[in-house]
Amino acid sequence: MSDLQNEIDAISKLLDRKSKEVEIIKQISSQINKTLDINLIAKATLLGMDEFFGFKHSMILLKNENNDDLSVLATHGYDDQGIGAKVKIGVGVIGIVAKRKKLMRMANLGMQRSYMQAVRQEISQTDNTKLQDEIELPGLPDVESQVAIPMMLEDELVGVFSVESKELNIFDKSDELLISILANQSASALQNARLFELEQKRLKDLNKAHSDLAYLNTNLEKKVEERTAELVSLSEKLSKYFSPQVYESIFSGKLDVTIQTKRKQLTVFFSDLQGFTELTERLEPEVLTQLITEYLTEMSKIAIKWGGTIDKFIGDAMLVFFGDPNSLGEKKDAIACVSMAVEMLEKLADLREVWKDRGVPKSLNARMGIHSGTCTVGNFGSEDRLDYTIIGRGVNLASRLESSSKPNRILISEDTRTLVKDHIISQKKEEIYVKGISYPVQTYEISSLIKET
Amino acid sequence: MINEEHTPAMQGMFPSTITTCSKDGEPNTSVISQVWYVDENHVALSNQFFNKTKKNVSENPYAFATITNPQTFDMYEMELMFDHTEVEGDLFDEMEMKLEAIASMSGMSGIFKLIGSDVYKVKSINKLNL
Amino acid sequence: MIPELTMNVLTTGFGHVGTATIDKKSYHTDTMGVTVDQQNDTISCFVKSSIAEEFLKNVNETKKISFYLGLETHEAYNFKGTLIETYDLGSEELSQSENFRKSFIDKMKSMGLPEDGIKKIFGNPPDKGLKFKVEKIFKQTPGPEAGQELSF
Repeated sequence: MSDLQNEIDAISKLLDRKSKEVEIIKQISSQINKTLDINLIAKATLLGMDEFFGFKHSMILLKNENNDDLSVLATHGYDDQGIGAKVKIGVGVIGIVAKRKKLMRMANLGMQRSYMQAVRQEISQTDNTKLQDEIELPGLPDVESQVAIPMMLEDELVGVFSVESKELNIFDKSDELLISILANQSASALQNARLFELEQKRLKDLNKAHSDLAYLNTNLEKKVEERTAELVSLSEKLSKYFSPQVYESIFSGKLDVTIQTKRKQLTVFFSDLQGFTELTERLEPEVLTQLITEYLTEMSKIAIKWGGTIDKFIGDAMLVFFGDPNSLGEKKDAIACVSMAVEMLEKLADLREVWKDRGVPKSLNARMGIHSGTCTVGNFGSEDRLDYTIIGRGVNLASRLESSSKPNRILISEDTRTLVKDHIISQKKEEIYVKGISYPVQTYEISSLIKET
Repeated sequence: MINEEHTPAMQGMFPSTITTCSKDGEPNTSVISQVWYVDENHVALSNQFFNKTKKNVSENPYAFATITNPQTFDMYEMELMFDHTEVEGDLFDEMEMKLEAIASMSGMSGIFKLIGSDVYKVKSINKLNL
Repeated sequence: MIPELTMNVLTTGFGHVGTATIDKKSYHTDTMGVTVDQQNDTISCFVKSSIAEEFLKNVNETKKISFYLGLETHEAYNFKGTLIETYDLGSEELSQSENFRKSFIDKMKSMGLPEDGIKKIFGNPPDKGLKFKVEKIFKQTPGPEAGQELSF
């Protein structure tokens, strides 16, 4: 009978213990799972361990992201809190438990250490090259027993839970399983808290990134405006160096800025100022510059008015052509050119008066030549420096006509006359020979335009 | 054979005495830090440096060891027979961990290496009447 | 002559004496005191016969002795030799043993061990002496020189 009673007693004792264990797990778990604050979780774990197991000296260390060491997160029962103290993975009881991810119980540390000291002493007398420095680890200075438990989440080590005692007592093996369960619970809660903390920080960083972007955007608009204004100002400056049509074509994208030429029907106009070279000797540079600027400005205005493409100025000489980049048709282009030339002469007459009043010693007279024919037009030059101009026999002929012209007269070719004869009154002049043209060219001098009715 | 009465004596709290005998019948008495519990019929000794004990049992397997329970101060004598050496596995890991932990604290990592865990069969275990 | 440098361990160390049986099994027991005749290379160690029955039976048969002593500093030596005689301890040796055990118990207490526990092991006096001739001495201090034989 008493045997049975003993058995019953033993079983009910076991049952009591098991229920107590479940109770402990419930209580500690609920404490650590109701908060996402990492420090509160750690504290709750350590306090719970003291309350239920009498662990008076314990600490929790978390593995750092570098995977090289652990840092003390919270302690219980130590004078010096030691928060933040580091333990290298692989060193000491805690370090080895972290490395091996296995529970370790160490009893009689004092004797073990003194044994090692003795060996170290012996070794150092013979060959101490292999010895490393002795390590001071956080914990009780005169600890005698220690249990370190890895805190695992699945297969990952989150940290180590360490319990120390000054007494040479043994930790009950039956408590080991329970403590391990609690340690892992704590690991899970701590990891959640850590992730939460990380999320909070990420959110903060994200918000800052957003506001930085918004600031950048508004600034960007401003910057774009500023840049655009700069570019407009620059292109305006550049436009002075191109004939408006060419400039227009380039900027509109119609004209491609590559070496590209084509053969076209053009009416070509050449002019220069007779007596100009003499003046350059006699006038002050400033006076000369003013004079030439005035002249070219007025002539340019007229050229643009009639739709001519101002090819270039060479000092006082001008080259204008009609028919590229825009054309009104062969005939209309030629008529426009001739009309331009006549107006230019009229304007020059006015300018002569102005200059005379100003005291310019010599009268300036223009010679003009016009020819209509096929020329090669487009971008000429090297890859780095382009000139939008015309070349060909037709150009040479126009140039010869100009140099053969009388002062303040316009000399045109047969080809031009054919196109404009209904709009001008002209006089037949001599034939001229032009390099590259085998036959003589008949020239005509324009007297005036036929008045439109 | 080994039960909870004995296991506290196998924590390494107090050192143990061990005597072995060479094949010529020469006894060798020595002291070791711990007799490790393997199961109710086996114990293990850690083998770090080559020593006379290991040499003896490899030619003559009989050994005699004394362990002390640090709670009760009871002493037990065990008749042992050397069985085999393990160089990997749970037992080896457990022994190695402990060795590594202490060695690393004393700046002697790499100097103390566990060569093997020597496993002995327990033939008898008796409490001394002190 | 038994080397001077071993005397400290001999007289104050914690000792264990072991022997072999005819069939090459082994036994040992703890010693509770020691006297040394340096000149004649003999050591007498004291044991408690009530807990060393098998040991005593066998040592008397084979006469083989391995006597290990160590300090808490881990300095240790092994004295090997042949038994000359076992005898009952006299009053002088008993008082030597008492002094030794007392200071040993004090030493253990200062290391934090409970008095009643230590007394259980060391409290009772030994009754038998084992005198043996030292033939070999080995250094047993853990380290690279462990196992080295001393010349004497």
